[in-house]
Amino acid sequence: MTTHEFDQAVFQKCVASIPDSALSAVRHAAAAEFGQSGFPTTRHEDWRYTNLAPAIAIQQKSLLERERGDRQLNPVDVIDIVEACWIRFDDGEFSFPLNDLPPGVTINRLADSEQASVIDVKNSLSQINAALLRDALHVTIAAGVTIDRPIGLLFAEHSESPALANHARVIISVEKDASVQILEAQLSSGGGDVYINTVTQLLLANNANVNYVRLQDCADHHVQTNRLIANIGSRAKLTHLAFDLGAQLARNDVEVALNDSDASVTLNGLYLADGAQHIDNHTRVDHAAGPSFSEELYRGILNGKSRCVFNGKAVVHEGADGTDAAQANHNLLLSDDAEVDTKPELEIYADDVKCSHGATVGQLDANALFYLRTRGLDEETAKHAITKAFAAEIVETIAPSQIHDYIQSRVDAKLDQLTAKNQ
Amino acid sequence: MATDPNNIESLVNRRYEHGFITDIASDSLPPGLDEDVVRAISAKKNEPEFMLEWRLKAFRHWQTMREPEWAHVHYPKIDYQAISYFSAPISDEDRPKSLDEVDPKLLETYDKLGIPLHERARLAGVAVDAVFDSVSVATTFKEKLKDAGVIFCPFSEAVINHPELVRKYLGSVVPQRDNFFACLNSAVFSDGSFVYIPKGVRCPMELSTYFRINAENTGQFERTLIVAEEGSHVSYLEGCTAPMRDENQLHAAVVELVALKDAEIKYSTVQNWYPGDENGVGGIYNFVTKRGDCRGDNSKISWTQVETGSAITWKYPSCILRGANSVGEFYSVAVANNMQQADTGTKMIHIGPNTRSTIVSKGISAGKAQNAYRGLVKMMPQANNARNHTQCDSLLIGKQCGAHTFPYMEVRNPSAKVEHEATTSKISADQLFYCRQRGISEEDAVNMIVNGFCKEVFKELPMEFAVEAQNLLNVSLEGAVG
Repeated sequence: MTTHEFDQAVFQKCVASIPDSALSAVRHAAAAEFGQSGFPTTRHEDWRYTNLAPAIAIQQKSLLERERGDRQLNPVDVIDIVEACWIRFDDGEFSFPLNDLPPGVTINRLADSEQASVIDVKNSLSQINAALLRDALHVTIAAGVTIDRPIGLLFAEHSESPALANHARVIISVEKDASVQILEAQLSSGGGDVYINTVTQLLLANNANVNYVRLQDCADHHVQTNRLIANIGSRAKLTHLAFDLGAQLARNDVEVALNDSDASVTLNGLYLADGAQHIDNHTRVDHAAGPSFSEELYRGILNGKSRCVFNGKAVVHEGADGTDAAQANHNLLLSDDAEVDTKPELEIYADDVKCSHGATVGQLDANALFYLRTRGLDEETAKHAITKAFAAEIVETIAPSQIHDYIQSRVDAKLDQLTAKNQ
Repeated sequence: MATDPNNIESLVNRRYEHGFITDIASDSLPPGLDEDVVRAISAKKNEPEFMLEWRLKAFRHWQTMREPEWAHVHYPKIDYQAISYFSAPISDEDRPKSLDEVDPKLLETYDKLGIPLHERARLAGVAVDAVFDSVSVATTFKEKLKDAGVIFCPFSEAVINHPELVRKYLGSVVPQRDNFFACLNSAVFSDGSFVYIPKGVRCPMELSTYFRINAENTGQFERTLIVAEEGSHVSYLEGCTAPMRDENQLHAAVVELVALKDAEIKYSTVQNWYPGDENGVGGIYNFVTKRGDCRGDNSKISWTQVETGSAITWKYPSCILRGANSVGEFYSVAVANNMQQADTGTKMIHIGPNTRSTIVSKGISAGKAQNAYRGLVKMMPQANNARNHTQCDSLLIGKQCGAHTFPYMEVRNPSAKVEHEATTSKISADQLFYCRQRGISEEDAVNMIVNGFCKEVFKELPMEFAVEAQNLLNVSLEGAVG
């Protein structure tokens, strides 16, 4: 399907039907821009390996079927396992414990504030996201505060109706010297067709510290796109760990701008795919000032007919001297029909830099397998052990916590599924 | 870093040594491109009917194509109607039969370039098929090659004398419709080299061609086709240099290599066309399609290139590894200084089982230049146990230059193994300090470090070129320490 088949007229009508609020001006501008650009197609360099047709189809149907029946919330395990200040988005409707926020945390609704202009609409998925927003949340972590309890962002879809497209936006401002841990969980269930398009904007003021763990474990027939835009100030540090286990089609864009000296970012990711899953991770780090630091490690394990895409880009702008950027992507192929398309890119306009990237694609190391066999492990166990070790390198970058244990259990379940199919 | 800035500047700003225009009568077509021009080119070369048809087919398709924009280069739009598509040093009828008959002015040009044709040919045992503008003017060592059964001649001669071979292989590696520039070339190609190595023959000498662009406003569209039959071996050398001028010149060559079972082709290039002045005025646009097809089992194609010239380079010598156990190699040094822009790399398409490829790319950027590596490694589902290793390093000299890496890896076979490594850095202060401490001048130290950086590629070059390559590198970069 191409963008031409997306009915812009229906879309614009839907945008117009959303009640006016402080967001209106931004929404209408975004709708106009999306009217021009439409959904990206595989003719766009950034989308050459990923066809959004399933997302477009669900979006289209969802616009036509605005009325839906009663909704039943399915239980979501993470809420019970990880103690956090949970901000929930159930089928796009948010709720949060207004009276039980940790000290230093405030949450504003953008629909009744004057801050709508912070909404980013730089690419077409962010434009459609902004155009269809009824509201958005702005979470602020006050200067100098260290939040002990993690902030949880739960995106849960429970829809059983034929088609549901949800667009959610969260803006998180971490003020000077503040420190926080965030767990984002994309856990959709329900039998309906679901397309979730979330945009998260992170603003890290000087010396702020954010540890962000993201888990995407949507139902196998759901489609999700996600964009994280992070602006990092002087001496501030972002650690972003992304785990992609579910969804029929998942596309994540992580865009980090290191705007000031000594800003640093760590981007780690693990994607596990089987069946006909398609998981696409795009990351971009802009070193706008130096010295600044980025390190990136993404690992993927593929089975079945799955296809995974990795595109990592580090851009070192003129004047960003003293930049240190390292990037790596490693992939393990377990089946004949899986496909990996990886493209680690460097774009460098300064000379006092140290940049490197590496990428590998291969199957299980025969020597490692043999070694384990000589120690008496049967082939199945040996394969499982090596595969698990391959994934562990990313999982173990989460500090010991409930979050770590929860992610570990989810990853293990998926790995069992992957290796079982390999028998 | 303790470097005398004046000294650096004087070295970096060294003028292009080969900038001059030889004044000889050119038999050129007026600028412009339509079907009549294509017919005229074909008629001038007395081509058989099939060749004209082939050209016209390409031209008709070219008119429907759009110029590609994806490369990391910027240049003013090319007016394809302002280019003259044919230029021959002297008319075809009285083409010289031997070196003695060659226009003395032409020989003088080669002397200025430091290529004493006859001497070099005799001493080095290299047969030289010198292309001056578009038509080959002197071919030596024909006899010796003839004894071995090797065909090495200008492309236009091959079209007339060996039409069956040309028909069979022309466009079989780079189809007419492959890309915008290859399609243009297919329609208007002027001349080039044709090489045919028969079964089981090891070509008795290195084959080499010197391309040189002359005559104002003439695009040069070479077409080279090398066919290595079963079990044969050939090493082909190509070197380029061009006179100084202010108008940009378009160069869109196509090189096709076919390696059949157990055959090996080694293709080496030193490209030193006029890069334009320090403000980016003038210089050659080098939009080249080079591709080798390892058609037979156990065949091997190796590309080695040293790219120091051209205002814009857009070049991806590629290998299609079709035969089982076939091998593809790509060794490249690309230097961009001043306002030069280079977008170069390779494609390795692994189709057959146990195919192997190695990519070693060294990019050096100085001044305000932009140097990009763009490569594709593709493992098709049948490519069991295929193997690729890519090493791609960039060296930055100066604060305003750019070095970019765009590697594409598409893997559809689990037993295939793909590895890519890339680094970007400047000449390390530690290395420089170490050399200085040992009494080596700053100048020599930088040379040593840069040459060391490129060593992996230079060692792949045939002897004749290794020396020239080092000289070129020194001219382009000496002293340009960041």
